[in-house]
Amino acid sequence: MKHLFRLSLLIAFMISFGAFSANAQEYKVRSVKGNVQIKCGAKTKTASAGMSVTNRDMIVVPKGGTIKIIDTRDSQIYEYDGPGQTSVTSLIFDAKKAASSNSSTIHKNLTMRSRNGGLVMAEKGKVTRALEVYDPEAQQMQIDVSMLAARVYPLATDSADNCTGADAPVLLSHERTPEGGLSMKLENTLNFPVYFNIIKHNGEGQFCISEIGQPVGSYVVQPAQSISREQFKGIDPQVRHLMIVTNYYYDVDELLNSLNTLTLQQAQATQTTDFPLYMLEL
Amino acid sequence: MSALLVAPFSFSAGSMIADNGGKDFNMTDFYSLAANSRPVRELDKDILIVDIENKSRSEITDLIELLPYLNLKGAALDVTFNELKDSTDDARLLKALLAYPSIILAAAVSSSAETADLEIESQEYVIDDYSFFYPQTKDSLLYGAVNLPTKYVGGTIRNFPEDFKIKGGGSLPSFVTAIARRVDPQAAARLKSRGNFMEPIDFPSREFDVVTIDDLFVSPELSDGKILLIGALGEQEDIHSTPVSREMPGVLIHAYALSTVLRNSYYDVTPKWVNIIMAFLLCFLLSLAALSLKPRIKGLVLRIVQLAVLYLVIRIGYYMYVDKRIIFDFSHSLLMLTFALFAADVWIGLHYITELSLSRLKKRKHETSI
Repeated sequence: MKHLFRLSLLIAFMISFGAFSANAQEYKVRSVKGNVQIKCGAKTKTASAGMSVTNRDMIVVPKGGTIKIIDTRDSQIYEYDGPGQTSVTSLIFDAKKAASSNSSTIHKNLTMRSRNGGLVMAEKGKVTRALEVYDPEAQQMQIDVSMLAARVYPLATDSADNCTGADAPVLLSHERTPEGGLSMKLENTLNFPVYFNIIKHNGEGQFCISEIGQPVGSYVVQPAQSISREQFKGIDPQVRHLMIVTNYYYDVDELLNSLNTLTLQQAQATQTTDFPLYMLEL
Repeated sequence: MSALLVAPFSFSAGSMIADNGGKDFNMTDFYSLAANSRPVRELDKDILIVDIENKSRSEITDLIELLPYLNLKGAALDVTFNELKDSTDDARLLKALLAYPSIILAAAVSSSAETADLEIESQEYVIDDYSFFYPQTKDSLLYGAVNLPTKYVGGTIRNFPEDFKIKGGGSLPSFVTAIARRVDPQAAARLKSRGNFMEPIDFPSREFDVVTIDDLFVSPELSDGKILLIGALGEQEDIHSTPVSREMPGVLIHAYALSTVLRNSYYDVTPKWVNIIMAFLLCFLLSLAALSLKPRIKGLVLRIVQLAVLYLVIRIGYYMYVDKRIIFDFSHSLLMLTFALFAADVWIGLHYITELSLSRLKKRKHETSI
């Protein structure tokens, strides 16, 4: 009787394992964003659309990455936007759990801004149609201008020549002419859009927009594009013109307000290096 | 009152929650957007979109010539060929369409001048945008109107129409209704039996496969048993705002609407009188609470109640939208809540001023008597 019981347990296990193995090939990668890796035993592969995965595979999603897995039996699509590592089974379980929770869905979509905890990105109040076309991945994001100002201010007020833009991953060039002209050119060699604007500061007075800056929002330059702007005369040679390049949108009006507040307070705000920033004095 | 001011309120509500547009905001947009952000979605296996962006008329004709050889449930072409081009190509296109008579073709309507001032469902329409072969084929091929009416020009598309009353008699089905009549007459009958001119589109948590013409030539089995929706995904003139995306191609909107019909995933919209009664009751209860509370704690309690009601409205509205498929317009209720609290604030202020004046008067009298 005891043997019979053990045998039935073994058969049940084998049947369930068989079913498990049969199901194992029913999952496929539907889409991937970023460098997502699939760990299958000792092998690691880069995830790509159409790739088959099993329940036991581990998925490693970097910051900003996303993966969608489809269960081909019922056409359900499960999304994981990391960052982190999870198994396919956990991914599906967690996605189902999150999708069934009305409260977490609502809370996720309510606009809650926090200025604490080193948050450097904030959701924009308004998304323009044009920017959605230009930069769909980042169109709802903007750099927290107080964080941006905290990094720009010491560099902008330091008389040392520390804004060379030498470390910028894009091609920058500029020229001042004897007639009082100023020109600049930015060529985006990256594979994502860059945002920049040009402000000016005379060393003591307030910050304001440069004559060759963009008075609303910031310039956005797509990959494989260049942008140049020139004023032929009338630029005061004593005034510093600073090009501020980042990978996310920022509103120059808000930045100027923050910089002028810091000037008035003569304050040193807490800095964060959580986002790339390149500055070039023109 | 709330009905009059509901539009301005919508703007303030739009700034409170992560809406998709700001302008032309509706509370249900938030529910759609939130539901669409859930990490579980469903791939629609019945509909396959064929992207024909940047394809020439000749290449589109190649695709139409292929259709009779595919194992399809149906096909619809969301394109109008307004102008004549190369006569050989045009003749070949017409021949290909006539060889596949079950295809649904697109036309567009506009409201006739005589009825333009009437409510949208009472208006009469004229067919004014169609392909060059429409006069020859209007009796042999089935056409559907691709219009998706909105409240404002360029506004958010939330609904699709069932059919359009044509000036001079008869009607033209919407593009979606025409496809449904062809591929699933029962679903089309269900839509008709609901008796609404417009039906909300079920946008959230759904995806569609998209292929190109080349994909279909290489792997025709991709289309097995499916309804092909053929249209351009990147054409700027056919990009519209929806609750879940600021820019959605028209053919994709038709796919969502068709999916709504075929899956019977309709939303029931509560009548306006229910919303108004709800708003009245809420206002009445809050006013009653404001009168019965002690003056010292009244202001604080009412503010807490205001926040709690706002949160509850969002929770209940989302629950009804997602789980019960009922669209409840809480705009009137929220507006009346604001009015009730404003009235309570005025009442508390007047009460305080009166008490202060009386106590000063008493004090002065007392001092005079001494």
